[in-house]
Amino acid sequence: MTDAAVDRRKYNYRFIMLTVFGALAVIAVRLFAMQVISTDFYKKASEMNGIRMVPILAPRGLITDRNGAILVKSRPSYSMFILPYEVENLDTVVSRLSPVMGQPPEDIKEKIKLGWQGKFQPIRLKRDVEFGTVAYIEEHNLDFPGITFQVESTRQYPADNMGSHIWGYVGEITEQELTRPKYAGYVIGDIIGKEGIEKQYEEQLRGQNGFKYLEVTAAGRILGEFPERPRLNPIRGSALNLEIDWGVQKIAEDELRARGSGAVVAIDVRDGGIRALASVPDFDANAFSGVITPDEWKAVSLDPLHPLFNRAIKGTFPPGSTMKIFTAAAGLEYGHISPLTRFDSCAGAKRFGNRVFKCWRKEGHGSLGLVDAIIQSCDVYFYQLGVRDGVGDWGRMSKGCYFGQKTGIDLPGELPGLAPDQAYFNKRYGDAGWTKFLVVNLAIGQGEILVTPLQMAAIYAAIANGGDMYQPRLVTRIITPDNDTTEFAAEKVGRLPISAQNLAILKEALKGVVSAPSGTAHQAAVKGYSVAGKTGTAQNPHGEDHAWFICYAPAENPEIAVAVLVENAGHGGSVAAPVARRVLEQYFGVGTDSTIAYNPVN
Amino acid sequence: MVLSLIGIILIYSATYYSAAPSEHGLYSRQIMWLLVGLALCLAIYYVPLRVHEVLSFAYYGVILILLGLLLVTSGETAERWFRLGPFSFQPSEFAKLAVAIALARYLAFRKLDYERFSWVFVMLIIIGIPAGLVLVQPDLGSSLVFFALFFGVLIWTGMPLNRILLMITPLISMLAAIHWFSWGIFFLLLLVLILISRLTVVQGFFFFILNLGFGMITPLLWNKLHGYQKMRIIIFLDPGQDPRGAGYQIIQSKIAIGAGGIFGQGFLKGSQTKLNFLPEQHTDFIFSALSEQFGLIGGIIVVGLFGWLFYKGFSTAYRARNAFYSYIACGLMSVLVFQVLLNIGMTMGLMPVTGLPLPFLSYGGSSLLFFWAAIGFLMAINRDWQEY
Repeated sequence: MTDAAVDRRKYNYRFIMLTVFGALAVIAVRLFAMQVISTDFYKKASEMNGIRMVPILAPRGLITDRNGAILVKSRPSYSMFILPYEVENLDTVVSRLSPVMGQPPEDIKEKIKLGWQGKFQPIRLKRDVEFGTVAYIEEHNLDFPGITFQVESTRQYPADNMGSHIWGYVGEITEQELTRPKYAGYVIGDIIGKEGIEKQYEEQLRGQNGFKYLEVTAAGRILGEFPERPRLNPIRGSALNLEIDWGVQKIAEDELRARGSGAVVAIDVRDGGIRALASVPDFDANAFSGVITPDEWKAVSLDPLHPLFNRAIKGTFPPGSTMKIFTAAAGLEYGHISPLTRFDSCAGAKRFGNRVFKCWRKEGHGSLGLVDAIIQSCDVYFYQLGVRDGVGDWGRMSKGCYFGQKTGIDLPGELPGLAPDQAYFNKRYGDAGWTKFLVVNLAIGQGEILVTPLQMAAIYAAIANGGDMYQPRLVTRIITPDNDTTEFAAEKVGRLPISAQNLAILKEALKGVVSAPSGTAHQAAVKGYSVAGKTGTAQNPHGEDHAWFICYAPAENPEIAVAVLVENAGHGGSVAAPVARRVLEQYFGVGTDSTIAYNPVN
Repeated sequence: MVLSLIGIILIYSATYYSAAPSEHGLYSRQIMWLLVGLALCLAIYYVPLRVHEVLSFAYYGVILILLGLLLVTSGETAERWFRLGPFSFQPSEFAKLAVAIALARYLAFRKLDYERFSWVFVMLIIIGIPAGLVLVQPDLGSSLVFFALFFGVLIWTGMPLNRILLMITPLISMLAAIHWFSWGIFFLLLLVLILISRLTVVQGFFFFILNLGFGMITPLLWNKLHGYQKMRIIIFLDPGQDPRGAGYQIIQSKIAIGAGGIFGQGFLKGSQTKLNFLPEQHTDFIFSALSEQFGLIGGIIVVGLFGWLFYKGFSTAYRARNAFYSYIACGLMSVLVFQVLLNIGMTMGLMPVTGLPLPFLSYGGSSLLFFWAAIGFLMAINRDWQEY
């Protein structure tokens, strides 16, 4: 090589060395920058990378009755999960699970398909698995690869569907519900109240979910809890004390069930507290709050008797003769009649316009004064009284007595019913499109007017207490886990537009309905207590008439009002009145069968 | 040299083992490869270097045939490996060796005239054929290695640097051609370079046309790149663009390195490594796994050892009196340096993800064998540095 070439090579050699070591220096500086200067940033990123925050669902709050007996509680239960990545042969595992779970393999596979979120995500196969099953599977865990159990909180409701229409049920939040502002802060998998008290008091019952930090791999496989971040324990939901008297509630439901379908509402006339709220048929809140199969859902939702339908607050029926005291009140209050006013005597029917309206008693009642007309529920008397009131005053009175309005009970989905008045008919038929004889039917509680059993109980309670209308309520007290107590005071909505003097006349008549020899509701009499009430029969164009009985007791110093509606049962006095009697007997602790044993859920 | 051996074995085994839990059993295979590699290294050390001088073009021919065979047999799906029973090997690794030897053989027996470029084109052809065969496998990373080898050796010839720069200009032209504006500026600089290089008119004109042509290839080539290759370039420029997909590797690798801190999280304790957030942690991203577990100290030790190896390698090449030996040493070192810098740079987000293994540390038998063979050559050359 020439000297020049050697020099050049030396020069280029230095160039190479400089480049190479320059690059190494850059790497070293970069390492220093990343591992010393910004290491905290990367450490945090690394930590967050491998940690998944998993909510621990808070147990929902207790629900107790007015005596503190626990009606609804949350208890720990085992939920069965399958971890797909641990299962080699799904068919074998499913066929072994099938007899244990009591479900056909196809159903189990369907569940796996529906719940599939990737092979490292556990799929819930069943909530609330019996301990025996858990033990069996754990013992034979080699036969059940990938089957795991997790303790979750399950709602436990009283047996025999008791009270199901009060609490409703809970379920997993749907995607649709997640989009509503009401459920801001909820995530998929959260359990929410879907009906009843559970829904109404969702905010209070829910509690606050805790969190645990799980270490996961990039593929999502869970390795266990992250040791350096302690779990945040959930806070249980607030407890609700109900106004419900569990003994009364059970009697109400039992008596209703014995008679088919219907509703009972018992309400404290002094403050509007609901002592019983029953609707039959009902449903198993326990089953509904677990995993419900499409078949089970279909069976309940397509049942022609509509077991999910709360008749007490959503069932609207014509009030029948129970409306008559308001027709009477309109007559007295607006000066159309005095208590002594008599109309054409009853001969079993009377013609108005070109139509003949019958009295329920074919042989007629003869000539009656107001009180006797109520006691004997003479239709002909009230047809004539109604005509005298006119649609205007009749409608004014029923509106004034809060018909056609929601009572404001603390349950979701209450219906207002319908209280037609002059304006309603003008709107519906045009100003001259209807006759004044529409009122003939309304006067005896038939026709357009529709009421709920809850409304009747609340309004009769107002009659009983001297005219104060209270907002009915189920929850009397909310107690947070820290023992902060919120009491709900009785809330007065207003007063019935009936004077004390006229109210006394009506109450006298209602007392006679049960106690007078000619009264229609002897079967409501309770030993040692005077009961005042009114029977009714709601005409039902689709079948047998519905039987009403609405009462309060003791008549002189009322405590409780009870509205009973038995569907398709015919006459109120014979079918509905005995239900009310049994409820009152339980309330007062008297009666032939004595009271039922106090037996809330354990 | 012997010291470097021990050092590398240490790092190699320690690091390798640490990555093992994710893929149990791989480390034992790697130890086996290491033993084979050491044997190969010793064999090469004891075979007189003159033998290779004779056989150099034969090696080259064999490797071309192998690469060609691979291309023919692989059919529709891209194949980089030959499978022989339970083992598979990558001919591209051995191609590096063969090319380095062939190149050295060619250059050592030629009088190099820096004023002319014809021998440079012969070099380009010697390298271009296997590089092209590797590129169509497709293995962009390995084909780039050949060009690193080319430039390393070219610099080693003593070619003036401005001329070498001139030879790179077509590549720069391709990059600059991404935008009209940058391409315009590039041509101004190119003219200056051509003028100061005192080229003949023909040469100057030739380079000008060459640059024009390469610049125009860019848009065409971009469209011909594989989707994942384009993605790699985009992601390199902006890893945040796709944190779940292609950018994931770089982000996770940087997190692993950064989280290592000064002392590291400890052997087998790196959460990125342990929880598998780090992709390809026993191959391409082994440096990230090392940095997470052994921190700055571990990283600097490895980088320092590589630096020492670079120094020893290049000074061996520099010292060797025999041009053939010198060129071999330089070619092999160019490959080593290129792979180390590219791989470590990649794990830190300084270089695009190319899929090149880190010499000596990454899992992979062929790669390990190549580098141990290279060490064998370097040791032999170091021993025979006085020979002419």
